[in-house]
Order: sequence, then structure tokens, then C-alpha cells
Amino acid sequence: MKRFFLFLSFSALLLQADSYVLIANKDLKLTNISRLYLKQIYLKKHRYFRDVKLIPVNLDVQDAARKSFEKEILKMSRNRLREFWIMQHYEGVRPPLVMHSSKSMIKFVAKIKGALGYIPEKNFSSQENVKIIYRWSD
Amino acid sequence: MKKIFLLFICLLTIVSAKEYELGEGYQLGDTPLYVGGYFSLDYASYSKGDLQKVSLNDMALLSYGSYHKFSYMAEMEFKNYYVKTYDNGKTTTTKDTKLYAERLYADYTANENFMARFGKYNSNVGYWNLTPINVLRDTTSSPVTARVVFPKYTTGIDLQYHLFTQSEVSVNITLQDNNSLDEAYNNFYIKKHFGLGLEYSYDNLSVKLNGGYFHKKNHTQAYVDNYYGYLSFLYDNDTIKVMGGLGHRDDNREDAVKLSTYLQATYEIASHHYPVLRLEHYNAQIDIENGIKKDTSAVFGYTYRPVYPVAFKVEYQVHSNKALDKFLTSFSVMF
Repeated sequence: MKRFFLFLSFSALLLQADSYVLIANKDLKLTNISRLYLKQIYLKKHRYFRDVKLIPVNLDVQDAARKSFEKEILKMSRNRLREFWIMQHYEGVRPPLVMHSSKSMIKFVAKIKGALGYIPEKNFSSQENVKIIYRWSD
Repeated sequence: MKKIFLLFICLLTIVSAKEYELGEGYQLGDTPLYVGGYFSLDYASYSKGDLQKVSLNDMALLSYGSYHKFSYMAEMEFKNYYVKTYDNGKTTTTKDTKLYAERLYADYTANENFMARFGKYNSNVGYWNLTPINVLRDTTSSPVTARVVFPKYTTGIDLQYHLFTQSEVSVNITLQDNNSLDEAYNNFYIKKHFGLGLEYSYDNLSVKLNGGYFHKKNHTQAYVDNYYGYLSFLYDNDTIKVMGGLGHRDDNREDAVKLSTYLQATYEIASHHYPVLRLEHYNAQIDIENGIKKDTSAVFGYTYRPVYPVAFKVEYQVHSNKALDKFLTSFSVMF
């Protein structure tokens, strides 16, 4: 009986986990990528794919998707990210752009060839000019 | 004086900007251009005699931007703008009001693999040399290794090749065959510098190997061939940063650095608080400091950053040559 309850609790936790997707413009020939590759793009160490300039986009600082992205993909604390971008300011590199909602993120990515952004999977619509290139969950 | 006035006007413009966040620079309107800067106020007390020094140092203005595949960086700096020295009851004040071009370069990124840099830039050797300013360092002082093995600045071309997979492999070629821009600002007077660097990075760890040749003006004003090799690494995660370097320089004469090395660890013990430990050793045929050619030292430091771009630092250096023991403190800001 105990095992059954444990199984139920675990399943409930899994069901509650939020899923997120990294979307890119459909014309960008970038398909399945690794977490570290994605991290390099968001830290602007990797700024081009072939000869297309990549434009990583963040959601607002308080957005749950951004918090999850920083924890699960970048694996960096907010403080460390702030330090990182101050160091990059000395190098002449700016942090990613910020969009204020999933809707504006999808619109921006659909319009700009090199743009990439993350949104909750439930907000994704396959009708837009965007494709999913990475998935993760909390 | 005009230059100082202009600098402060720029500063005031920056800090009064609405969306400005300290340490991240300021965007000029809707243009892709940004400005920022930094300064450092230092104090040093030497165990030898009664020597103390106060200096307003590293006062600089940055400007950078990008357009399509091009970008630029301009860093103009007052070095040792104001230095007051107390030496056994005698006080001297020096001012260097010349504005130097610390970095002045343009980048062209062809694609994900190739990038070329033209102009004056921090020599792409090791890790310390890439962010050499006080506010971004973990200690007020820099390791001796960072100034005796290779030229800190190069005026020429830097060609880079990057290969990204799960990890990153980079190769860079440094080429200088001309006079240096503001050469008095460099640690060596050089006319030529050819270097090769190979770097491997995986997540938080990076390792780099550099080797090269440069033509250095010696004490008789003649240019002499110098060769160097430098191995360095950097590991950085949320709470700890460890970095090190090991170098050798030789000119086949008497002006050689047989070995110069350092290892430094910084630990974020609590939010805003960073104790630092650095171990150093060098063995040279030339005078490195106060006539000393060989030394081993430990640097005990502590940095408090109320916010990251503002740093209050103290450090005490213990050397095998007691005459080099010193206490340093500084206040530095990036804006």
C-alpha cells in the first residue's frame, strides 16, 4: 500500500512539472542542440550559426520560464549571471534582449531569422513561423 | 583638465539615465552604441622603510558597439592620474594627465568559426590578461606572471578560429609587425609580436596554451628577440573561482624569466564576501622588483562587493624576500 501511495505521489509530482521549449525561427537551420551548446548561445560565446547572427532572447527576470532556464540550462545563479554580464560589458558584449510575454517572444522569433527564445510548452502554437529545437522541464 | 571635465560630463550623463544599471554601461539613445567606464583608488603600505602610496588609478571610459558583422571597442584611460608617495617623511606627488588608448580595435566576425580583430587589444594570452582592471579582478594587485612573460597589449591583428560542439576549441594567431599604439602604456616596448594560442573549454573549465615571439626594446634601446610559453587555466562556478598560469620567457641572453607562476582561488563565503588566496613564485635573471630576481609569496585578500561593480578590497602579501611584504587596499567602481 505504501508503495502505491509513493507511486501516486511521484506521478502527481511529474504531472505538476512545468515543461518548456526553446523555439527558433523556422528558417534557421538549427535543429536538435545540446544543453551546453544552448548555454554557449545564451552567454553569447557562440554568436553565429554558420553565417547567421544568433539573437538569444530572455523573458522577464521574474518569469518562471526564465528562472527554470537559468537553473536547468545555464545552471548559473542570478548573481553569477549578473557578474558574468558585467565582465562582458568590459568585453563589449551585451546581455540578451528581453521580451515581456510568450506571445511577444513567439512574434519576435517568428519574424527574425537568427532569433531564439524559450516559452512554456503550453503556450507554443505550431501555426507560427517557429519550431521547437529543445525541450526541458523543472 | 578639459579631458577630466569631459569624462565627468559623460559620467553624469550615464548615472542620470533612467534605465541605467550600474556596471552594465549605458546605451546611447536607440543606437547600437554603449558607453561605460571604471576607476580605482588604491593605497599601498610597504614593510620596507616607511613607504606609503595613494593613487587614483585606472580612470577609464569605454565605448563600444556593433553593426552587422562589425563591432568596435575604444577604451581611453588615465593611468596613475594622481599618485602621492610618503617615503620616510618625504612627500612627493606625481600626475600623469595623458589620456592613453588602452584598447582600440574593430572586430569582423565572418561566421560561427572565424573572427578577426584589428587594432590595439589585450594580448590573447592566459586569462588574467583578458580582464586586467582592478574592479573586475579579485585582488588589488596582479600576479607578477601577468607582466613579465608576454606583452600585455598587441597592436596588430588577432585571427580566431572557434569550433563548437559539446565543448569549444579555439585557435588564435596574433600578428604585430609595426609600432605599438601608446607603447609607453605597455609592459614592454615592442615592434613585433607573433603568437599562437590554443584553448579548450568545457562548461566551467577552460585551459589555454600560448606560445610566441616578440621583439622587445632592452635597456640599451636595441630590439631583442624574445620567446615565451604560457600555460593557464580557469575554473569558475557559482561559488568558487580558481585560476592559474605558468610561463617562461627567454631571449637567449641575460634577460630571461626561467619560471613565473601563480595559482589563485576565490571563494564566495557569503553573499557579497570573497576571500582570496594567491600563491606565486618566480625565478628570473632580471630584476623583477626592487632588485629581486627570485621570490615566493602568498597573497591573502578579501573583497567586499555591496553590488558586483563596486569593490572594496584589502590584501596582505607575504614574500620570501621580506622587503616585498606589503598591504594594499582599494576602492573601485565599474559603471
